[in-house]
Amino acid sequence: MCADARLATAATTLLLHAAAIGAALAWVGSSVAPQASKQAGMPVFALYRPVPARAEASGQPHARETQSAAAMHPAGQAHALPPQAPSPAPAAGASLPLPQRPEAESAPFAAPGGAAAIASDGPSDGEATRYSQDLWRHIAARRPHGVQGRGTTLLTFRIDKDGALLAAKVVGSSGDYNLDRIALRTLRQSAPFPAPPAALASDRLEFTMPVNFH
Amino acid sequence: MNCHTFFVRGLLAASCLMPVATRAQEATQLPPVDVSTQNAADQISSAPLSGRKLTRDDLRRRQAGSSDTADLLRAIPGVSVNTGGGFSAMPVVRGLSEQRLKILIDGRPIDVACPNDMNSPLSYTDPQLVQSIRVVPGVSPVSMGGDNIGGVINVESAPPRFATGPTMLVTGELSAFYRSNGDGFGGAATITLASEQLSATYTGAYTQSAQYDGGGDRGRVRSTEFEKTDQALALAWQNEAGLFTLKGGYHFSPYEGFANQAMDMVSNRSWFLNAGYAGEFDWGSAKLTADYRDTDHEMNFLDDKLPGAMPMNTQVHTFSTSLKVDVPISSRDTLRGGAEYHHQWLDDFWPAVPGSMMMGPNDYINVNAAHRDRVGVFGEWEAHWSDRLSSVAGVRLDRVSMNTGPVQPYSTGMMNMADAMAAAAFNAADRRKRDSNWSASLLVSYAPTESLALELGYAHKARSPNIYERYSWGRGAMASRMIGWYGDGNGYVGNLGLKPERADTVSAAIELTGANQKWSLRASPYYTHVDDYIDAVFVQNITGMMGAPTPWVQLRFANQKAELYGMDVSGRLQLLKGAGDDGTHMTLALSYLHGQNLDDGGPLYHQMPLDLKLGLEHRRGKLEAGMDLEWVARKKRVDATRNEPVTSAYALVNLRLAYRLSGVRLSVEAANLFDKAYDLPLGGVSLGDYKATALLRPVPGRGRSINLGLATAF
Repeated sequence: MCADARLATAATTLLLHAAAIGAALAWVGSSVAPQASKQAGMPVFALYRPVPARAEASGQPHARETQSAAAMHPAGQAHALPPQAPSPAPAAGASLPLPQRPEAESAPFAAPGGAAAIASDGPSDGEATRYSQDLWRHIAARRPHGVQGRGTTLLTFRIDKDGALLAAKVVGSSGDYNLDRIALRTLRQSAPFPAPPAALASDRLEFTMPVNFH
Repeated sequence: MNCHTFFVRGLLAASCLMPVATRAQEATQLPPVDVSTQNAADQISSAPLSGRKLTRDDLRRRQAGSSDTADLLRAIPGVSVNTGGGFSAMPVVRGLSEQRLKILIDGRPIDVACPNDMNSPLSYTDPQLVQSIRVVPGVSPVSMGGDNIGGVINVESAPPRFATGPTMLVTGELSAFYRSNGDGFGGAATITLASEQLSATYTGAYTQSAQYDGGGDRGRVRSTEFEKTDQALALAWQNEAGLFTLKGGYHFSPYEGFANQAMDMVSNRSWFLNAGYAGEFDWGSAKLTADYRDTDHEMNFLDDKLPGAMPMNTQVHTFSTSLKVDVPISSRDTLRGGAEYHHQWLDDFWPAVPGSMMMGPNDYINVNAAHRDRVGVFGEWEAHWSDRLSSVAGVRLDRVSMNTGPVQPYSTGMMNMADAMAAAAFNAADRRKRDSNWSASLLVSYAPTESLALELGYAHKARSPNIYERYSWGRGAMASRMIGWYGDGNGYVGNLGLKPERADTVSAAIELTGANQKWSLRASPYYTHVDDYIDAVFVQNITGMMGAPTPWVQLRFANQKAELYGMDVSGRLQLLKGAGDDGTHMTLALSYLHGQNLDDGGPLYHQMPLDLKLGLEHRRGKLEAGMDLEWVARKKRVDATRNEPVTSAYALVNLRLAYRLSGVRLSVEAANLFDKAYDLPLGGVSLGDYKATALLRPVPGRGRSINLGLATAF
């Protein structure tokens, strides 16, 4: 009788756990299906296989990308990260899109484009810098708390004229996939962002940002 | 620093880090966002200010000096240890002993598996292999674990490492040591092979020691030899779904003498399998664990306690599973919830000794297939009101159910009459117990300036009695003297009527930091009131053969009221600052504790007297040097009920020197440099010596030992 009760309790606990994890996986798995986003431009939390930051300069395609990669990198742009359609996914998780392995090496944190925009000349530079400050402050104020682990995740993201997040992805992995996901989640949960100044051209609304866990 | 300045500096720093491509109209580089694990307010739920952590560096500096992980924890103010064997000391946090703490190894609890607590949880760890140890006293958030009133000790192995590129990661650490006092030696290896997604880590350690000599004229301390090995293989796989881990290990100790117990450990085998999953999702994070451990424990006499034989065997199986979910619902608030199931099965029997009038003809069944099951659920709310103010509040329910089968004495003859009658009464009693234990905790952390941090905490915690406290039944002198983890030779009788201990703790912590971190001072006062504190009450004097008097008494576990209060202080002062990590600094740690039994008006048992530690550390290039001074006051507040011995004040000096040569760290340490003779305040009485010499004395502390260490990482 007592053993039965114990067994039943253990089984129920395990089942509940399995169900919770299963539901979570199923939910996330469905969110990366290669369908159009319900709200145009809304970012989707990506399940991806991160690649070390050094991959960037290799020129190899390595999208760990949401479905909106194309929107983020208009065709023809020199550093465009080609969207990679997720491979057919018979099950959540295991068969999600994998990037090609980077072959070449370069300096860490090599971001697409680097710090070009803030430093460049142009009539709206002051505004651009101010907006970058606002944007950074907005995200930094929403940084996660109590995270265990060390590493640097490099994110790139694109926003629209209203400050909505169009797309976000990891371009440099910390080496710890869960840290990368936390960085991406932080960004996504920070949206919407302050609306950029009208004078700022839409092709200047792409940003890269490292997240240092230490 | 205002936000603008920070932004600009951050931007400059980021620009330096990032190779700048000159293509126009490309991504704008933002400065890094720092997610710190150092800030107390940020870490309120995982590392509150009142808690402390020993890092791998701390442990590496001290691992040559002791194979007992608990002993190394004494570096933390407020932590003391009740002496066990060479690697089985039982930590005490702010006066609350091991049974009242939640001790986790890689997040998993290890259950009591011995009536003398010889294989305490920390005995399954080796200081050379531990990555970090965090001690959080009684106001710990409920998410850290239930079924404790004194706090949480979490020992962590190194987290899985992965390669950050296509090249396979091969890394590890090797270490070895020798101690002159006791001729102790041992070594450990950690080797990791990893790709970007798969990681395998082997850890292994071996250690042994002969008996040590006490300081000055104390001579050899008998029954202090030990040997053990710990091995484990940890696998990890990170993929699109998260991080999956699987770790299995084996521990074996062929012998461990216990200076303060009637018995010695003659074999302890334990294997375990831990599985885990951690995933980060769009909605938050989830952690799932499941683990199993099987322990076979045997006691008998080592050489010092011969002649004679009295085998005592304990078998334990434990299974645990837990789920913890964190859901950030806004940038300010995070909700946390979890559930836990823990099953312990314990069998404890003492085989009949052929030819013995007293220990036969039947096996003595001490605990017959007892189980202690616990289901816990909790909810917690963590809020970061600003960068400087945060709080965490939680509620938890642990439901504990226990039962055990009928027992039997060695015989029902005249020599075992007391046990026979006790067994009959025990078997007739209702042994099923159910407790519903509510806990709650509230912590608020506030850092108004860079140089000041404050933390206030309140917690109500409860823990149910363990199997031996409830189900030990023997009333004979010998049988009862086999029960107890106090190292005092007294006999202990369990109590089926025991209620769970319920503790209310208020605690504060204040940390002041000088400019450029040239100095820091942390003080943490606390007060704990415990209802139904499990203490012991006098039953009878224990007599020997033919009614001869003995120094021992028989006691029964009983619920009483108790209070504990005190203060932990620690500080650090920079005397010289060199380049990088070079410099000289002084450290201070002070622990004051007062524990009172409110029912009998006497002091609580095994309370550490005033303890002051001063340290001087110097580092220059490849050289590290250090000096420690520890002064412990006379222990005059003793528990008269248990005949606790008074111990004298003492001061010890340790010197340390280490040098790095081609990546190898060579260290030499003179522990107890002046070979000071002293008695361990929480050491109990030296029963190994008593059997050989018929002189009863407290267990002496170790005399001078020259410890050599070697460590290299690759």
